[in-house]
This record gives sequence, structure tokens and C-alpha cells, in this order.
Amino acid sequence: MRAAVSVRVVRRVAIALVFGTIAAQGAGAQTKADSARPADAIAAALDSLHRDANGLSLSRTAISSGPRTVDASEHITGDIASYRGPLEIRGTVDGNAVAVGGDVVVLPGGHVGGDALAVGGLVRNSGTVDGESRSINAFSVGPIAGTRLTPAEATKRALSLAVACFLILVAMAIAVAMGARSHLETIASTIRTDFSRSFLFGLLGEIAIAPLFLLSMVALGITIVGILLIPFAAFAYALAVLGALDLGFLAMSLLVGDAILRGDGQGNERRPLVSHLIAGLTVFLVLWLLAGGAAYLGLAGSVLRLLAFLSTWIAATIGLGATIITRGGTRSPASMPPIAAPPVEEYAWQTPTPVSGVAAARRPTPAPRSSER
Amino acid sequence: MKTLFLAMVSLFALGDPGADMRNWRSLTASRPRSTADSLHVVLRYDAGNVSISAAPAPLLYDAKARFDAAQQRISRNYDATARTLRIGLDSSTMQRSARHSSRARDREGFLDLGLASGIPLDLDLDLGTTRAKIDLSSLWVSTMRVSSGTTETDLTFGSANPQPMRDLFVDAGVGSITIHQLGNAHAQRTTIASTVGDVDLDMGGDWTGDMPITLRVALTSTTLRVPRDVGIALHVSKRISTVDTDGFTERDGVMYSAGYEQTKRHVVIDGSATLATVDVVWKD
Repeated sequence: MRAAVSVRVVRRVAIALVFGTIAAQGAGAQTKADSARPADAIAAALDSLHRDANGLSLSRTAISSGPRTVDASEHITGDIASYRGPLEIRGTVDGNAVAVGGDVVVLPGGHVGGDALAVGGLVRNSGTVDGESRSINAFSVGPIAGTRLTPAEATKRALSLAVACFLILVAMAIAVAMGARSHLETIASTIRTDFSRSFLFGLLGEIAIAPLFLLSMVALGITIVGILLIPFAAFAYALAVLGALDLGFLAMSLLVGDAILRGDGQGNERRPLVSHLIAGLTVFLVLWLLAGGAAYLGLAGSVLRLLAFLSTWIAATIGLGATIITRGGTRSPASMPPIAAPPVEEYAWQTPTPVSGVAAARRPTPAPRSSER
Repeated sequence: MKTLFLAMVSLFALGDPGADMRNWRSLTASRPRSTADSLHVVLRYDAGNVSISAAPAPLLYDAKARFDAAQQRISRNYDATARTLRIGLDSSTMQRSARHSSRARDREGFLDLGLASGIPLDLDLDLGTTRAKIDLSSLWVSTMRVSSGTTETDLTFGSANPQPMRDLFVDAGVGSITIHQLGNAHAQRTTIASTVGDVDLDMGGDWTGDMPITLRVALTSTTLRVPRDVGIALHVSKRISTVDTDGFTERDGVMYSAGYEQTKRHVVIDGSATLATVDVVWKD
């Protein structure tokens, strides 16, 4: 009773802490945003303007906050810019005219010697702009998604990818357990009895995937009718390869599941196949979750990822080999014809005797004893 | 088990960060023609829709673009000394953009480029996975090179080129290319190459004399649309290919259309066809 109460208290404290942290962060961010001074905002806008490929570089003295007008009698020798307001030009600007968060309006008689640029607005030109008139709806200066992920993003991506693959494999496992149980059992049994041969066949199969594909495409390409079949053949080939890999990997997962759930898989046909499959797949999932969650660990994370990859690759290779050996689980090792032994002649073990006979060896004569002399 | 699955699905629902974040940007840029007497355009575009046509009269170029800033960047740069406009995807984002090309972005992202008429243009277009509509009507194209990956390219020479084009080179890669009224290009040398896909060449237009074309096609269905008053000479080396030469006569390894000598305009096609079909369609 006392223990239950303390667990409840700990849970409440934890929840309070989590919400408190989130709230504090939110409040902090809000305060930060509110307290941002216009000068800082202008500096940030100038920095973005400089970094944007479609922006340009301006000095701090050229920009001011709010709407701005260059009168007909005015002549600005450098650049001019407004922040959060339109920039109207009736006179002459030798340099660039920029509005961040407003329009650049060049009225009749107005002249801009450089570029006219509006960020979050438009350039409306009824005067003269010698350079380029350019409008962008917003800056493009942030990181491009995915070019360099933060550790948090990388972790999130890796975890969701691992889970997505797991869910897909589980769906396939259920389908295979319902529709091709005997095939799966045959492949698993082959892996159990012929492990190294399965690995060898799997390796050869993986090496042969691309050459076989090219060969079949070229063979089809020889005839006009064959050319038409190329897309279908390519699709069928990809499907067959993926199917073989999947079936083999599921068979390996089944064996792993058997090992975990203490099922030997032999003589126990009615064992809960799906549970064993899921248990096996979960082992691989855990490996990948560990690898995915290790983005912060540097070298150790890389080692974990390598381990996850190697274990998955070995499992897939062995499974593929067993699938090839059993022709997709249609031929059990028992049903395969035994390897024919070389023919043995009945008397082959005897020493052949030449027709001309064998000369008898002379029996060695013992040396005469000294007493006989 | 149920809890485990719910947890898994929740984790999966976290999704790919940024996978579905669209960050659309629009860009418009135009420059007055001023004293420019020629323009070299280098356009690189990997994913989306691209179009080229004539710009309104006082402008040297007029570009409008929409792009997803979460995945790509479009920029333009004009070098007044070299009279060169470089426009399109930043090279740092090009490959990435093609890799992460999505149907939605491809449909919505675009680059429309208008170019000045009345001055010679050198066009260098590198198109990736795009749908390109290039209408060169009323433009003066001096040279043109189009290199594309997986592209649907539609190229129109709607009016006669004021001066003969020195070189027209189109490498369609994997995809389809349709050229309308190729005769209006007045190209001194034309090379059309395609690796896989469809090539549709319309030899119509306002032209005289001979039109030499080098055709290199493989795994491609090629259709040559030829006006009836034009004679064709085909010298195509075939490798497991079908070239439609019904009514043609052979002399010295060259196939000539019926009445070739009597026609005033000739299309002279040289090249190779590997695992391809070449059909000639006569048009009135």
C-alpha cells in the first residue's frame, strides 16, 4: 500500500516536472521574442539579406525602420532600405533600393541605379530601375531539410524508419504464416540443418542479382516483342528478389524467435508461428532501435549501427540462400535427390594382377651361423 | 502485445522530420535590356516544371519561380560583362532535390523564364527530372544545348530564326522529346540523341535547302514528321532496329525517299539506331 502511494507520488512529481520544463521553455521563448529590440531585428534582417542567394549586402546605416520616401528633390548616393514599411522613390538612388516587409514603389521620375528588391512585398516600377527588379516572398536562409540532421532529428528518423520496417515485416510475417506456413518451415529447417551452405548460396545469390537482371534484360531486348516485355520482366524480377529476401529473412526471424521462446520448431508443427516470428523480428528491431538511438554516441553509435547492419545482412543472406536451395520452400532437403555417390566396382579394392603373372620374390636366406662354419 | 503495437505506431507517427514540411518561396526577377546585345543563358533545373518563352519588350529577362525552400534553392545571377545569366537550382541543392523529388513538389514547383527577343541567345539548358515547355517563337537563338535526364521536353520553333542557328544539340536521356517546326530553327548542325523514350521531330517550318540532322537513338521510338514537299536521305546504321523506309530507294548505302531529286528541300539524316524504331510520317 505504502509502495503504491510512493509510486503515485513519484509519477505526479515527474509529470509536474515535465510540464514545468515545457512551460518554462515556452515562457522563456515568448519572453525572448517579446524583448527582441527593433535594432536586433534589423540586424537579423540584414544578416538574412546577406546570406540569401537572392538577397544582397547592405550597410547598417542604409536601413531604417518603418515607411520611407525619397522625395523628387532628393539624391541618395548609396543604398537605401526600409524595414517593415514601403519604400517610395520619387527622386534618385544611385545604389540599391530595398524593402524588407514592404513594397518598393518607384514612381514616375524615380530612378534606381542598382537593384530594386522587395522581401515580403513587390517591386512596383513606374520609373526607372537600371539593375534587376526582384521580389521574394520570404528569405531562404535556413538549413535545407535533411542536408545535415541534428542528432535529435537523426535519432527520430532512424527510430521511425526501424519501426516502419518492423511493421511492414510483421504484416508480411502474418501473411506468410497464413498462406505459406509450410514453405517458411521448410526454409527454416534448411537453415537449421545446412547453415553454412545456406550462407554460401545466399552470398552467391546476392552477387548474381545484378548480372542476372542485366542478362535477362539483354535477352529480352534482342527481339522487338521482348522489348515490350522489359518493364514487366523488370518488375517481376524485382518482386521475385524481394520476395525471396523477405521469405528468407522471415525464416531466420522464426529461428531466432524459436530460440527465444524455447521452441525447437521440430516436431511441433502447431507452435504459435506468428508469435515466434514477431519475437524474432523484435530482436532485429531492438538492434536497430539501439543503433538509431545511438546518434549521440559518436564512434560507439557507428559500431552499433555496423553491428545492426551486419546481423541483418547475415540473416538476410542465410535466409536467401536457404530460399534458393529449397526453391522458395517448395522442396524440402529430404525430398531433394541425394547426391549420387561415384559407382564402386565390386572387386576394385583388390590389387590388379597382370595377365603375364607376377614374379615371385626370392625369400631372403638367413646368414649362416658361426657354429655351422 | 497491443500496447507494444500502439507504442510502435506512435513512434512511427513521429515520422521523418521535415518530410512533409513545405516551405514555399516565390521569386520574380527581371532586368531591362538596356545596352545588352546578346545573352548567354545557363539554366540548371532538376525537379519541377520549367518553361521558356519570349519576355515583354523592354526586358532582357523575366523570371518567375516557385520552389520548396526546405529542399532546394533557386537563385539567379547576371554577369553584365560576360552577358551571362545563370539561373536555376543552386548546385549544392541540385542532386539532393532530384533525390527527394516528390510528385507534389514537382507539380507545384516551377521556373518560368522569359528572354529578350531581337538579340542572339546562347541557351545552355540542363534539365533533370522535369517537364519542360520551351517555346522559342519570336526569339533569336544562336546556339542551343539541351541536356536532360528523365524529362518530358516540348520544344517549339514557332517562327523562323532571324539568323541561322550555329548548333542545336538535344540529348533527351530517358524521356520524351517533341520538337515542333524544327525547320524554323535554321540550324546549321542538329544533333538529337535519346537513350530511352520517344522522339518526335516535326520538320515543318519556313526553311529552304538542306537540313542536316544527326540522330543517335537507342531503345527509342522515333517519329519523323516530314512535309510532303521535302525529300529525305537516311543513312542510319541499324543495330537490331526497324527503320521505316517504305517507298525509299537505296543508293550507296543511303535510303532516298521517292522523288528526292525533284524536291527543293531535303532532310539529310545521318546516325545510328540501336534497339529502336524510326518511322517516317508524311504530313500535308
